[in-house]
Amino acid sequence: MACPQLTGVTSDQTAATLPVLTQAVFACVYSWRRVVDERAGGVVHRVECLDVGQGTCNLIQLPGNRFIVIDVGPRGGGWQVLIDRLRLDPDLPQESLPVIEVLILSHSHEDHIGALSSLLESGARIERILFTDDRPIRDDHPALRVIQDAARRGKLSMDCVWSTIETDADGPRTVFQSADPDDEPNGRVALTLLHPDGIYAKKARERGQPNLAFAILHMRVGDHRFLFPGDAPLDAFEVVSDNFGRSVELELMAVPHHGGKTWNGKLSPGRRTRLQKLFQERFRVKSAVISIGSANSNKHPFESVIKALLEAGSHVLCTELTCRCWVNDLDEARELTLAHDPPHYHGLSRKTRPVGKATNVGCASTVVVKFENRVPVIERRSELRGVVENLKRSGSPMCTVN
Amino acid sequence: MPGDVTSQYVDNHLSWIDDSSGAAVLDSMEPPVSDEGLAASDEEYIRCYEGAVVKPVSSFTDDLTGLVFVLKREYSPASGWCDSDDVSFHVATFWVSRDSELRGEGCSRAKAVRDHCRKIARRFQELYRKLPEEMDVKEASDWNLLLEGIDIEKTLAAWPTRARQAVEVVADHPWKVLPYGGVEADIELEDAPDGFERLKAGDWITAVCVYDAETHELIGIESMRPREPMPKLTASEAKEMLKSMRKTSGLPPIDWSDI
Repeated sequence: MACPQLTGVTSDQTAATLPVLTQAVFACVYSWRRVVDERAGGVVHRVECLDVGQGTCNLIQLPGNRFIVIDVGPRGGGWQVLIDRLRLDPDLPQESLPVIEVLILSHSHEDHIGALSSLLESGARIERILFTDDRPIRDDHPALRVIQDAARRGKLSMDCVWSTIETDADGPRTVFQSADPDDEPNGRVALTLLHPDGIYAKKARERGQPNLAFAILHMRVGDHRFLFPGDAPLDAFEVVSDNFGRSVELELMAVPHHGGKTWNGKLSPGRRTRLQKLFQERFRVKSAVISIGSANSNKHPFESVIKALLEAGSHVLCTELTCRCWVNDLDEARELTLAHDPPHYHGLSRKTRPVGKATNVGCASTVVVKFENRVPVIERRSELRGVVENLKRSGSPMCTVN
Repeated sequence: MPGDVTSQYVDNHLSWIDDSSGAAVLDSMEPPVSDEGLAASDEEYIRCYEGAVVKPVSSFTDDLTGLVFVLKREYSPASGWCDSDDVSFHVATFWVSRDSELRGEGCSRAKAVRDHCRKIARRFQELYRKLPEEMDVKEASDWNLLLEGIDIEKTLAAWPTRARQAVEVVADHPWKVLPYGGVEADIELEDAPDGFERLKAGDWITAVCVYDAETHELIGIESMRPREPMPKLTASEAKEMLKSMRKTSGLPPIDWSDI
């Protein structure tokens, strides 16, 4: 807010102008206080990759108890993490519940949409839902079923807009943009849907792979970029990279498919080279976050994926604190998490699960990115460094925090 | 929680006597008189002498919410006495200083301890869901103070998660339920609200479900109301619904070079 101009006031006008001057001073002080308060005590922007176990859930917190949610995590225990994090207490009045500006379901797999029903039941106000029509229509289309039910019973606001993410859109689309960049101390927030687009859809059709229609979301906060690719395959990444036509530096990337397979068939030497090239030349990722739970039977994350990221200089973090990491330093990591950010400690991975083969992964629990002087900072990174260094000394080749 | 105690003057000293055993549990000097009303000062504080018989407390239950707070170690509540012109009362603290806003106050030592537990519980619940950057200086200071004594990991692990969910009754006598998007679970009638016993397999309810924070297993249902079953969409209905929806091609386009 600009201060009113106070120049050109004559002495005769002073008495009459005094109340105006007073108001102006108050307006300036109020405006200044508001900005200072926001920076000092209020949440301005915060990006979180939640520890939901084996699944994916990313949050972007905006000022004023507003959120963007990209995938909602798995069924079973994982969805409770999102409910806790959004403070969706059944006893709270509606006005105390958060507003979800956009809820995006990158695709309709269970580990990404498991919490949808509970989220819609919670009473949180959802402004817009985007979901990918990525499956052959069947009787049990899970996302559609839940959305229709919620709408029918008035659980969704009448103003809530549902959109399907089209495979034939002819280029990227702006999903969300903060209204007033002057109110954003870290710079304007812009969320863009990169994929699917017409070019990829054409290739997908040519290759006979119509279901590879995963949504890839790009977010920019000021000058800093984040990528949330769902479970996008390698081919899709390459198409997006071709469209950018330049190397893109990312502050954080949510590693697709939990660090698992992003290619069709076996990982041939040719595909390995493509994977390395992707992260060394096309997307330069500062921090790569693998959302993973020890209870997965798919051997996620793959060593090849982590190796490609590490060779490209990325810092790899996993969202679980798992007893499957074989050192005692986990207690230290838990302490760090608890002391710094108690709402984000959910301990989903505290127990050794009876199934799953994920080993050599570590160890951040929910990854939180905050902004300090317009620069994104991963919380607890320096403290976690010591823990992870010990893990590496213990023989785990997969962890790094710098 | 320690049992009730009674204060007595013995040889110009204030002593607390355990009601059940009759043993002296605390000893002190004569309570001083203060001009500062309720404010406790070093002179006003009557400390718990080493060796006094006080039952240690390793956890306490908030009597209003039923939530359990696990402490980092066992605490024998330090107790004291405040005396002013027109009011005298006991104060009690576990690990906070006696001039803290969190100190417990009451007409007996036991009531002061209970008040202290309540104040800790209130403040913890106010603060534990706040993000660090949402806390002002006072709140951050209080939070750090609470963390000195409360074992947050064990405490949060003891607190259940509550969520409103669509739930299908899949069996009755005994009852099994399936929260939508969750996993099937047995429900005992004592863990369910009144009226639950009338539900039959195939019924649907909207329920506030309670989950164990550590195992994530359904441990009870707090409240419920009947609801229609989750609809099953036929292929043609789903197709029609998709057709009627907006498409992302309607969102504002952006050039790749502007992203």
